[in-house]
Amino acid sequence: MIEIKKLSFGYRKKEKLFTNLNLHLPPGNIFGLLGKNGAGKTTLLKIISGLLFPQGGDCEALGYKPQCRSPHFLEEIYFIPEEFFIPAITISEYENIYVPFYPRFSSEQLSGSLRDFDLTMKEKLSSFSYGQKKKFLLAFGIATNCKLLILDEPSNGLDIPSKSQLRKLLASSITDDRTFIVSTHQVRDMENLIDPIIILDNGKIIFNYSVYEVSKCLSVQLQQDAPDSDKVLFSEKTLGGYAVITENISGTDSQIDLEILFNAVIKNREKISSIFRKWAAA
Amino acid sequence: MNVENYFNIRRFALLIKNDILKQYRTFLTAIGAVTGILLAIILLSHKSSGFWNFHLVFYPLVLFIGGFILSSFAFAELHHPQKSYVYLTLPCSILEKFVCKFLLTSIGYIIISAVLFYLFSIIAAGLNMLLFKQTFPLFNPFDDIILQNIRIYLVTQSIFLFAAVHFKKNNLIKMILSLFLLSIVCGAFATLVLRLSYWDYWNNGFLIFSNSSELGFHAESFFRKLSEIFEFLFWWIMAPYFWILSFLRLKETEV
Repeated sequence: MIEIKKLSFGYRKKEKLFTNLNLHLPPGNIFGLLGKNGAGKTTLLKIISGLLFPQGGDCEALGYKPQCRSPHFLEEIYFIPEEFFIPAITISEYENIYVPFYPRFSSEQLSGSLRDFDLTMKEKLSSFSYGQKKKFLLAFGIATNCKLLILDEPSNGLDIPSKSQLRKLLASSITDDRTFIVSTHQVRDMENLIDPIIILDNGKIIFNYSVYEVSKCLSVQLQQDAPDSDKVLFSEKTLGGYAVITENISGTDSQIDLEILFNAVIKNREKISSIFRKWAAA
Repeated sequence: MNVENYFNIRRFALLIKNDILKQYRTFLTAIGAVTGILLAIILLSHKSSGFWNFHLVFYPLVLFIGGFILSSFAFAELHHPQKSYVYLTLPCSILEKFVCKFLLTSIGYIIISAVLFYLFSIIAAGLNMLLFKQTFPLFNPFDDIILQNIRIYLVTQSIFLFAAVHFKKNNLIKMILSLFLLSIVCGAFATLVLRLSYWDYWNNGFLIFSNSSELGFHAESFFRKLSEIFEFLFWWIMAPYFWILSFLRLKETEV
């Protein structure tokens, strides 16, 4: 589905953001792309969607070179950026203008999603709040039935019911031949949805594992006192104690908080990677 | 090579429709404003001697000024931080996107402006008859002078279309300033070459020969040839050159 090999890219000639970046994203998943500010998440999404061109290496998505911007490739992707533009027209006018470009667009799906998001077809898009506009774009993107849906911070600006509605919508729309890439800082909004989890740091993929792999390799415990064992990979003070991440030796699966996992990977990258490598080898 | 990847008539028609639907409100406002100004000029100048040449003076103004402004903003979406995402990921080929903008700002604009100017001349004629009991000529888009202006517009518009793709902000002003600068540089260069070549013949800033044979060759035929070359470059090379440049620039545009 998406194959990135030895990708290099930089906004300045001497300073590369990505050097020899490799990534393979098979279809049928909702990938969560996590990273600190400036890690390169949006840049990577732009390269995958053909909005930026690789300066070295290869990027292939759906069998196309995104930078060629082939119309058949563009029919199969829909990119919703964090900051977006929506013209001052009604939803039906928007449909009239953009729908014909997407061969598998489902108007029923769009109206269903809009209903779930409490939006009506007759309203003018310019009268919507930021969150409502975002909901409209998310509903539209899902209704295109394109093979690659790229969402940059999709839950930003959404109210609490809409966040859960978005999760339901994405979960019900994913199929074996579709891929969703969700880049987010609001990891709690996307919990129980994104799988596998990709963590990008300083232009490098430092973590790319499924939730199953995470639960097999790591375990989280809540304890009262501050941990001091050298087996502790990461600990964080939480309400009522400490959340402690250790290697999962017992084999019992435990639910891992994405935020804690992210912090653990950023702080203790080498040790965590070695645990995953050891598990994969076994 | 699959032609479908580069040009598909269905996609192209959708793109044209898309562009028109997005722009028609702005276009209608501009038409309203121009019509109002022109009507005011007609009504205020009905006694003037230039009244009968109205169309020959004002249609070229509408054609060039309106057309250059329209062409300069043709790719405004491309330079808008949020609109560029939509424009560049719209499922159409780069060729279709370029040809669409080119047709709308050249042939499309010429046809629409000529038809509207004709309709305007009917209204103006009616008003003149009604208010001043005098006739007013109808606009003839096939007049030789008008046709020549249209030909010049078709060629020169390509420069502004290129500016629309190339410059991120203030395209129109930047292009006008660039052209101004270019003409100064070319003029200075030509003067310098002539001055150095024919130093002895300069008099008060003019190149004066008592006899063209003093130049050492057939000056008249040389300058005629030179003018033919420039004419050829203007009519046949300049526009395709800027179209190709615009297309290539569009192709390599990133957000």
